[in-house]
Amino acid sequence: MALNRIHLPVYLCFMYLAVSDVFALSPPDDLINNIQCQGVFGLNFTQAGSREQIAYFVINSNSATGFDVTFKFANFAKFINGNNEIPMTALVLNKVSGTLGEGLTEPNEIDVLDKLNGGDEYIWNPGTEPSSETVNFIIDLNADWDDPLGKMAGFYFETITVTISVGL
Amino acid sequence: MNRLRKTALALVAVIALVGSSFAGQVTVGGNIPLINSIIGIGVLSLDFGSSGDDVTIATFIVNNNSPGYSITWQFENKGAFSNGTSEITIEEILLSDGNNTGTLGTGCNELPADNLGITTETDSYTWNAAVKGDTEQTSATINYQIEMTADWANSAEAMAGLYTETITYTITAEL
Repeated sequence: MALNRIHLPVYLCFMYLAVSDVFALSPPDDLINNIQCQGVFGLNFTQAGSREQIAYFVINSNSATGFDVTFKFANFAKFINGNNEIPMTALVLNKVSGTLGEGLTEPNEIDVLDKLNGGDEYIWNPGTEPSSETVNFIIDLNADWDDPLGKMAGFYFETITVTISVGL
Repeated sequence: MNRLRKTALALVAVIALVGSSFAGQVTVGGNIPLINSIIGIGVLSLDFGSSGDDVTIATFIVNNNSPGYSITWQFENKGAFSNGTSEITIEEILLSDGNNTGTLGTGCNELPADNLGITTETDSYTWNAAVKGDTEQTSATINYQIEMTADWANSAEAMAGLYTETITYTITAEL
């Protein structure tokens, strides 16, 4: 009995640790929320462009609250070369392949140019309550432009900065 | 120990949230190739039985989409129609946009209104259509037609034969 009294505090201490572990936070899964991008460098500006793929993006995310993708266009959706420019006359966002988390909405002919409305930024929000991971989900931007006949020679480009954030 | 563990986990969560934004950048674009051409058509049926007054001797068609360009005309006989040792001297050579065909690029210089001044000492003339950083072209020159006209005196007493001048033209683009 005396031995029990001696060991009781130690025993209770172990019990506390064991029980408190049950209620302790377990280590979360590593958050995956990234986007990779690739731009097309060889656009044909010797003629009008129609639904030409200009960039594509690969998304992986396991954020429980979904994700947002922000597209920022440095030249306001225009290909520029010094003071010369070739404006995009259409710009749409579409799914290419991969798996989008269940509960999220795939992009389908999203009129990005209309969303920009003269601005330089568009945020695509597919939803906030995915029930599964987004895995290698590829989306692309396709653009139209008028025949650049008479435009000055040179390299015309647009720079797109893309940012993925966890949904709020 | 448990408190330490909770703190560590909280820290991991904070780091995860702070690091939840991921960015990338792409440049997309393409090239508009340089267009820099000139085509010349000479007249081989000039009437040397009488004097010539602003008679078209050649026509040139120019296409260019560089900020600067120039055209040089070089006259092999230094401004004379020759046939062996016989010559019919060209008294004046002018350039004009003729029938106003085609489009001269925005910002380009006008064609010279004066005699090109081709002599035995000066056998070429250069028209600086556009100069990069100065009178720079900002839209392309498309199918712009240049007409070259000449004057000559009555050559009824000249020896029979075909009298010719050869004009070499060069267009140079400045990017």
